[in-house]
Amino acid sequence: MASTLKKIILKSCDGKILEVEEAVAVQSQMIKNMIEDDCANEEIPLPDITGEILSMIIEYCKMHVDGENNSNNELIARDADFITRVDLNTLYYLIVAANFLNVKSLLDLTCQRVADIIKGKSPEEIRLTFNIKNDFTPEEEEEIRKKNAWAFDYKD
Amino acid sequence: MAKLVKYHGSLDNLPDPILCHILSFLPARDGVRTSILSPRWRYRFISSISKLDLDDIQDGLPNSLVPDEHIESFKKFVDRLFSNPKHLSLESFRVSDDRLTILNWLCAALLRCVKEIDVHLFREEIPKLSTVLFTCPSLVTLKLNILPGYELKLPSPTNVCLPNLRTLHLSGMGLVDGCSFHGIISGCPVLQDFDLSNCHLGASELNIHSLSLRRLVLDFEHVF
Repeated sequence: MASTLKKIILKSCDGKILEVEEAVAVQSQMIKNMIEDDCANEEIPLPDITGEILSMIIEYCKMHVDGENNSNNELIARDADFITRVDLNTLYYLIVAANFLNVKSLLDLTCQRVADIIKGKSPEEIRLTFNIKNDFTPEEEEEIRKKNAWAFDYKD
Repeated sequence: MAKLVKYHGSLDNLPDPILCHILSFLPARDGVRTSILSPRWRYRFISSISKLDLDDIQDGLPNSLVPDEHIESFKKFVDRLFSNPKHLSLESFRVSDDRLTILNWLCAALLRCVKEIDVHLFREEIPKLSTVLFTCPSLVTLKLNILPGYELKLPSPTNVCLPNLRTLHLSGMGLVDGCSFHGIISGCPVLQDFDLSNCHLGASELNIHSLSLRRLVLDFEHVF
């Protein structure tokens, strides 16, 4: 019992200190490894993650620990509710942080969300949505379109 | 804080492995469309594709409304994909358009340790593949739909070895003489979901023994 109540202390890049139950913290494979190596007894600095993003990640991990006994469908519904509340900019930071902390299910959820936003959009719409600068010449672009005509609608 | 600003506002600032991870969730059609976003995206999708759903070409249209030239450019795309020996680790392979000759692709997918195969088969050459298909160790899901007029003869039971198969859906199959569905199931030790629809049993009895099976569907409505 004692080990489940142990707290892990995380420090965000903007100086926010968060105390997290070990069971929640080990959802992060990185922190789990640190605990196993006995390196998590003092506060763990997270130089690239803000307090706001860190709080969201902890909320997500806690939701998964608390929901362990829930049905798969309930968890999927909660995941969907969590991720659709996130704006695009926050989504980038969540992806980077989930990758750094190695929370696989959150990385999958956030990347899937970006993929869902891309789905059904024309290349021009995708560039606009995600601020992607097009360095192709019109000729190069036309060549790629021709080569993969099946994937591009006539209306594009 | 300063370090975070560099990610601000553009997907372009994410590192390659994450970009590839995002693209791996896209169907082929949407994925290919990302190749004209910018030079950095040109080959990203091709190197991250994990699901080849050949029905993507239809974009919701019935098969007959997909123009022939799209079928041709799609064939070339899949050929290019399979000619690249690196990177391609397929999770799933689905196809249902009868203008696509899928034998070589199916073989290539099996060699790349595909986990899911869901195909509509139309051509007589398919039986040649049955030994490779029914002994593929990576397969978790196998759905074979034979359209009326063609017959896939299943191999004899000793040739079935699918140690990881959990879902097996067979539709419109025939059986080689002396072969039984029991023999097929006994080659699938972890099978949980078995769906047998409109299959011709021939002279054999339907005799199913399985400790792992959780769902069984038998439908012979259109056979007799």
